[in-house]
Amino acid sequence: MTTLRIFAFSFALLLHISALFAQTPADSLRPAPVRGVQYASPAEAAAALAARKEPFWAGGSVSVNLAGAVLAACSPYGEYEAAARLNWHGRFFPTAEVGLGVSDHTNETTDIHYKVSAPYFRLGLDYNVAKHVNDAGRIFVGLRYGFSSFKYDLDAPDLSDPYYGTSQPFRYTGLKSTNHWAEALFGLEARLWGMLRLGWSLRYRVRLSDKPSAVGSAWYVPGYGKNDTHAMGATFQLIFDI
Amino acid sequence: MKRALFPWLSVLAAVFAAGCSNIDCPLDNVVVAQAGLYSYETKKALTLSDSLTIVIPQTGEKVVNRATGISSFLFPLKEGAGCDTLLCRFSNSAGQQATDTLFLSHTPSPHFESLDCPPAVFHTITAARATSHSLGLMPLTIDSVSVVRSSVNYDDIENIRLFLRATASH
Repeated sequence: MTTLRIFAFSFALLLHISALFAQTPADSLRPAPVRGVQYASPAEAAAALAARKEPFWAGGSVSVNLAGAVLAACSPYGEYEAAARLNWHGRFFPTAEVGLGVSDHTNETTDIHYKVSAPYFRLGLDYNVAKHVNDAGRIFVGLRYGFSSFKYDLDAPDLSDPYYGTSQPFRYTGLKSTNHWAEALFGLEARLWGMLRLGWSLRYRVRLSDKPSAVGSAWYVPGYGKNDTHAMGATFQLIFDI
Repeated sequence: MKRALFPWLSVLAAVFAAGCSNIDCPLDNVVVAQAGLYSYETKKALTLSDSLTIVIPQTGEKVVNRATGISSFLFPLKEGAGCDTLLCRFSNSAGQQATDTLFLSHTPSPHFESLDCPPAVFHTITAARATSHSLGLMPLTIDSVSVVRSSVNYDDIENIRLFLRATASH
């Protein structure tokens, strides 16, 4: 009789245990523990992200301009440029840009050779006009002040005077020039991966002053482009958030 | 998909922005000085009824060859520094002719416009004077010269005025 009771108790216990295990399928994972804040829907999460306020010092970034380097390698002139900027509230981005403008070009028609390798500097501010400052992408409008004081070399075939039968050399080295300019820009930027971003900007430049050398204005101004009253420019930047 | 397109569109935008070019050279890129002809008596612009030939004596090159009915002419300056000499030969239908000499002192300044443009030499005229011949030889002579615009560059603007006299001066 006792044996029968033990058997009945064991059977009931087994049934109970198997019923407990039957509630969780053997091949499924246990639910992950909740971390941070979870929202009921993606829309709710996006709204909460948009409402989040960025601190005044929201970080900074450094960047290199890939377009300028490509132009330096493949065209008559280009720039090797790096930039650093701060992030204020995700809206304002004070920016400093430093670069080396290079040109070593001979015009195939006139045989005039122009050579320069000189630094330039730009200071300015970008404003993020995107609706939400926390979005992965940013839309910028901005202003810059640019400056370059540089020396360049210029040489051309001798000048021959058909009326007087004379010939004059045209070779100059270390010609000095200084330019100041302003820029207005529009740019886009997107997060690529982690702290890495890609961005581009189009820039309209207006020359503020041009101090010509003894033989005239320089052809190419580092950081500005062809030396005219206005110029267009573009950057394609690889940006590292820090 | 949008994310994949972004870098390529960015590169295209940069290439298009950098791909524009034009030729930076004035249409008139020859440096010549301009002389206006004026009447000594009236001080007004004069249209020449006789003929004028201007020769560079060093080379014999004729800058102006038997021009008539002109009120101004263009002439080159020597690219090197110094004083240029121009022989101005007047002649008329009666077979009379005489030569005056024009002396122009100037300072050259080499000029670079752009890589697309041949280099040039601009000048600053510092002094001008001329000789006069007897009106018995030919009844038209240079009385005097004045510099009205010393810069000689691509602009074809009057630089000097030649005052021509047809009557005896007082």
